[in-house]
Amino acid sequence: MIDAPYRGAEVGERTKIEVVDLSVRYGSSVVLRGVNLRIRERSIHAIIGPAGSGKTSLLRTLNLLAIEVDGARVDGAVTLDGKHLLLGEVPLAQLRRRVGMVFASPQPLPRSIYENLVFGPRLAGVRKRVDLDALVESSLRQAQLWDEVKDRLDVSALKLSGGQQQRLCIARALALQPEVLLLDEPCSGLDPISTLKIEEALTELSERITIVLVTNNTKQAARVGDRVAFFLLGEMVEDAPADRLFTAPSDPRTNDYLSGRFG
Amino acid sequence: MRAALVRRALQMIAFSAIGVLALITVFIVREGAPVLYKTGVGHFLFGGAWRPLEGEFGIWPMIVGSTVVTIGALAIGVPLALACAIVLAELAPPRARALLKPTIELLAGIPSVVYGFMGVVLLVPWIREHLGGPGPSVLAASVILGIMIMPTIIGISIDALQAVPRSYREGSRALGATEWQTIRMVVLPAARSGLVAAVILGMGRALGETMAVIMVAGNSVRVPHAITDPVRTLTANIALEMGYASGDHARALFATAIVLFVIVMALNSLASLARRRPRRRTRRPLWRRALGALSRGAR
Ligand SMILES: Nc1ncnc2c1ncn2[C@@H]1O[C@H](COP(=O)(O)OP(=O)(O)OP(=O)(O)O)[C@@H](O)[C@H]1O
Ligand SMILES: [Mg+2]
Repeated sequence: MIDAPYRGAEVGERTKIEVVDLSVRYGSSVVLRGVNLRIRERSIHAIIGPAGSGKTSLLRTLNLLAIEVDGARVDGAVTLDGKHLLLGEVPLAQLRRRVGMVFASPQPLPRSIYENLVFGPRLAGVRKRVDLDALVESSLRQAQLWDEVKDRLDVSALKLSGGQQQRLCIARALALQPEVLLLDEPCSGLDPISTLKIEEALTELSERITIVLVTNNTKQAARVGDRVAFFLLGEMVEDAPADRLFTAPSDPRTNDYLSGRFG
Repeated sequence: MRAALVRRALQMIAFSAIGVLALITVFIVREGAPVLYKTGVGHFLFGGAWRPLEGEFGIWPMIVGSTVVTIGALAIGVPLALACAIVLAELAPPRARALLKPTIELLAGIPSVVYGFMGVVLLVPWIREHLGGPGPSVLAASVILGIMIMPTIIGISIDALQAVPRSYREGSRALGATEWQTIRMVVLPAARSGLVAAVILGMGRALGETMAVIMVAGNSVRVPHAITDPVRTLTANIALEMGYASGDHARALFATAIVLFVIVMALNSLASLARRRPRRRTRRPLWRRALGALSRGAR
């Protein structure tokens, strides 16, 4: 697993999300400054960097969750298919359905597995029982969770193990059939087998949807990422195809980080 | 050594507080029980005539009075208080919340005679002029009590709402729910037991309030037939007559206190049950699950 080959960079060249000169601050502390990033359609864009470098803040900006924090200020431009998100060109509810998010710690709602999965689709107007059932099954299958929970969909989601909850949250985001999936360290705290299952699921999904994957695990970024962006102290230091970033980083700070000289 | 001493002292204080409560209970029961026995519990509770001088003790009108006034107070106070708590806990900017929450909690400390006074001066004349009747009435008492219980309900409800993890809200928002949908479908259900406890404690407060009620309720011992009719509550009954009562009359008032005591105790236990209740497993009705299993099996 350690020496798995890097994936090529020539997939999906159409731009899905473009971030231009993005700054995010909470109150007086600046957590992202001058970030430029282009995320290509149907690819996995991995984001790495030490703790506190602003990776989560970036993800939360891409679905505008960041602007809901009291005292948050976001400047710059973020576009989804050319539409400016910060100017409100995509209605919020629609944006959240098109850009799904999975948080760093699994956060299922205190309801049954089934209810967690149909929460989003119901809000989006899916009413028919058969349609909901079909969505539940297909999203659970995509998240590699179907076999483990298919006989107990009415059990509380809080009764699942951590790894299962995390996959449930992935399935929950997939049930909305999003175009983009934002994942924040989906494998932190998971065992290697669950991690492998999630990575397989992501690779498969990236044939249809765009994935932005924040990870603390550089090996994981190498295994599944098409491109990798390295963040440090609120700045994007380098963004390159995975094979290039790991073999020949152009910035010395990237090299320091990869060789373990900080964090 | 020092710690052990402090511990001992605290224990003693705690036990003596409990002891005093136990003594009060024993005292009330000892004083009230003979009349209950003599009149018969059924006759005491459901008898319609309260003629203490002739030795007839039926508190049914007062039980009805306390009940309708409390229900009225809840009908007025609970929706307003919950709306207020939702706005303060979920929608208002933190600065406004930090200012308003302590202010509202301060309202709980205003002496009840002040509320009663406002009722007498403003509300009672208004009711007499616009709705008829003598003025002091079920309606007046309900409105005043409804206002009085709001601070209690608001305070506890805000705490319950704020105890809902932020992750539930964010999870819901990230799935495309609006702020209001998130409140309705995620936050309120998750805070339910705390909200129920808030309402029950407000109810206890309405039931136990005496001074403000005496001032605006009219206090006649009759089962009311309209919301503009005067009523007497259990607490008012005790407070109004204890000053001059003696013999069986005084004991009948203690018996009234027993009834009140039992009701309030029951409410308080309900409140703590609601608070402590473990999160219920979410489940669909049995027939739904059976159908689900069948349809899954068929595929
Ligand atoms: N709601 C908030 N209010 C104030 N500051 C915040 C908030 N959220 C994050 N920060 C700050 O922003 C900075 C970047 O945080 P962020 O969570 O984006 O880092 P990260 O790269 O995801 O770190 P990690 O790898 O530990 O998850 C941190 O210094 C953090 O303290
Ligand atoms: Mg993070």
